[in-house]
Amino acid sequence: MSDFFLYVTVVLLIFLGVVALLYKRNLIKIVLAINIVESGINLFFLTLGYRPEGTAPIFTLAPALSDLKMVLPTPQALILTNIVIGFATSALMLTFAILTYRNNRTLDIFKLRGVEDHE
Amino acid sequence: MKIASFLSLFLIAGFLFVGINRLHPVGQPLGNQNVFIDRTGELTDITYVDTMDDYYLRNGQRETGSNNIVASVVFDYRGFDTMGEASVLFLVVTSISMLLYPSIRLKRDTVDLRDPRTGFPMDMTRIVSNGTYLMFPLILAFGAYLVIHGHLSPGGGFQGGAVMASGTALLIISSYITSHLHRTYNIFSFFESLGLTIFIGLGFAGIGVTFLSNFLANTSPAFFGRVIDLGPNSGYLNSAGLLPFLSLAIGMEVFFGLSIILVSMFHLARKEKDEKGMIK
Repeated sequence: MSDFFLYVTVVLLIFLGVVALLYKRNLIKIVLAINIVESGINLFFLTLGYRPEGTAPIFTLAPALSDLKMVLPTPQALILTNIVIGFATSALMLTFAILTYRNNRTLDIFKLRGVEDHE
Repeated sequence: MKIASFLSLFLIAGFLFVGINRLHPVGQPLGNQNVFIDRTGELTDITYVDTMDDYYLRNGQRETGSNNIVASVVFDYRGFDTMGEASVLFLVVTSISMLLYPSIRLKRDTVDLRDPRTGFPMDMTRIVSNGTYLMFPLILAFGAYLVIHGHLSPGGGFQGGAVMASGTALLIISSYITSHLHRTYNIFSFFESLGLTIFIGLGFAGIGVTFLSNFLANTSPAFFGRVIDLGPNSGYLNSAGLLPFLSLAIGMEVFFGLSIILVSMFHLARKEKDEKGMIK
């Protein structure tokens, strides 16, 4: 099971984000929950490409080729994409939260939907 | 309702934990560990290559001339993907400014928060202002270094642009960008569009082969086409062909795009302060 320990961390992180996504009522906290899920997915990509004693896939001043091991480059490129897109979408979601607050004077999703007495 | 949410949580957790067992163990990804054996630099070199990542590691340095394999994946092998990503960023910045612009338009747009006598911001101590003078050029220089050396060392257009945008955040918290919203928007959006346009234009420049093909790599040292030694080397700035230019274009777009987001949010906060009468 120790081989899969990092995957368990990833699952816990994603699970934490999903719990917050389901049970939080504040819009800004929901945006943060989506960010947590996203960082879990980034960690998952990084774990997929990990290789013990592997260097970053950069040849500038790297060790000699005979004992050179490198981690996989494609997951890192995907993470690069994911971080920028995640930043952009969370900025957009926060903008929506700001506009919602300015129009309704509340961020509570139940009040926004007009539900007064939920369980 | 509660029961349904509990059930869905258990289902999600169960699926995730079952999915773990179908993955390869941590630290043993598919592919050949010793992919660099007998690398000769021939044209189609797929000996010892098992997976796509092995191909990138074995041939990336020869095909793109870039030491940084991640940069060669981002800007060369998957350059079209990066173009889509830059377009998403452009779209997000456009929609944020479109959504926020009606609520941040001020009657007193040219209100300046700086003291007319000293030129320093009024609502911030002198330490922050002087620290900004010290730090801002350094942050810009570090970001520019990350952008320019993207094909040699860790970094690239996105990271460098984000670092430079943190310089803009420093300018904002020390109240140096406080007035002239229209002019700021015009300058920033011009350079942001210019970055994306340069990226797509460079893509069309290589259309003789394919869109975004690296037509400058391994041609002549004068046009960033220096042929590098395979394997570990000390890094040459004039290698990698199109990659430094694409990196510069992306860096410009990310820097000014994130700056537009920051400036919009700052002006929104200031408008709220102004409505409450906190700005004299």
